[in-house]
Amino acid sequence: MTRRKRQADRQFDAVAEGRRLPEGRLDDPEDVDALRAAIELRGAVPAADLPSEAFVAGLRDRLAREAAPTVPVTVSRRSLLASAGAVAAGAVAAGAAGVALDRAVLAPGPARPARVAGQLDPADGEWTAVASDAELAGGATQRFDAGGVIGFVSATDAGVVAVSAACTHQGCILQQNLAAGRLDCPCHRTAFGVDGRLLFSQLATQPAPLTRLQTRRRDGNVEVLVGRTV
Amino acid sequence: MVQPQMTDDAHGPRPEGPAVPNGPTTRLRIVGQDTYASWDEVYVDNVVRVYRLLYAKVGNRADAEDLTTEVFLAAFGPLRLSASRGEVRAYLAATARTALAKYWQRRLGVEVTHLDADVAARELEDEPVPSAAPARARALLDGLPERHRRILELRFLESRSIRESAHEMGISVGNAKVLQHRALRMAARGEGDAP
Repeated sequence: MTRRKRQADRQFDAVAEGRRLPEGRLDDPEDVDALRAAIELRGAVPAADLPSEAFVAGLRDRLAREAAPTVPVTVSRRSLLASAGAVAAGAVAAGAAGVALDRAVLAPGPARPARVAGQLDPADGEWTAVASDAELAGGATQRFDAGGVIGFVSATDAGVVAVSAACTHQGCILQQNLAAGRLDCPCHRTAFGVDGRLLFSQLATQPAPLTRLQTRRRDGNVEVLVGRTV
Repeated sequence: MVQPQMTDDAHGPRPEGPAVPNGPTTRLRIVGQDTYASWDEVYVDNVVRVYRLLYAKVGNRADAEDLTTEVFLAAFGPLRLSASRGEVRAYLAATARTALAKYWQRRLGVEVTHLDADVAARELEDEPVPSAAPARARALLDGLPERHRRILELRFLESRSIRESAHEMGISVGNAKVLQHRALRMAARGEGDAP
């Protein structure tokens, strides 16, 4: 086998085995095409393109530490507009060429049986105020951290609802997405309504709705039943 | 304070169009009015999408992670939060495209795969559309001679080692390597019917 061929095979094997591509030089255009085909084939493995939770969480911490500017930087509105313009221009070409390159694994498949929400009912519970009625006025959502439970409490059309902020997939703590009025999982592309029902998920097995907590209104506050703190 | 939208619509207040934009008119839709509340939200909302976009172009986790990191580190400098979601995504897409091009130049001296800014921006949009990847893989494999198709399925779709694949096919490891090399070239040429 020639040296050039071996060089190309190292690349192909790396793709097949999910390893970082080795440094090198690919001079033969046919090898370049073959490597591209290998990458495309690899892309068809279901869910192989989901980032690990450790990576997602690690980069998040890193960005919080070093990247996110505390003072808004004057951008470059021009560069933003330029990239948006390039996008608009490219769309025409892509439409004409019939490019369809979406890599999402998530196909809107057949309806799956709805999974049932659990309810957190501590054996030795304690009613704890987590929000005032005023804070929930107008259908707002409040995050709370009480009795070892992080959750969200909301005033919905169906009354006050409190849910655990732990995603039912792997327990990642959900983020409130104010603009969309939903709770987003930082780990996998999954979102829940503030009432805990699943809105969408990239996962093949759809996660169950969020765990609910018992709530009651008392003295102008909303209280949830959580485990007694010592 | 911004009031959450109590709505059945999973995507919030943005106007929604077809899942796959089909021209410049729909493209303009992504430059919406709403903005991100924090850098963290920018990250949370886009990290999986950016990663998948890049994974599809490099085919392995380690490089996809490095590139995703590079994209967010690079984009968070010049971006500002007052940019709309559409603008943020367009910027992330453009940054991803540049990062990928530089990656290939460094790694192999040739741009093996390429990210169209428009395709990238589309993929960063709200709702994923059904993946075309399995169909494209099928198209690459269809028509290849049986043994060529089989080696690629074993290696790239079933993640079997070269040794396992050789064993499965009843050939030597050396032959399996040669077969894999030829099969990839054939698939790339779209010459499924070639001898």
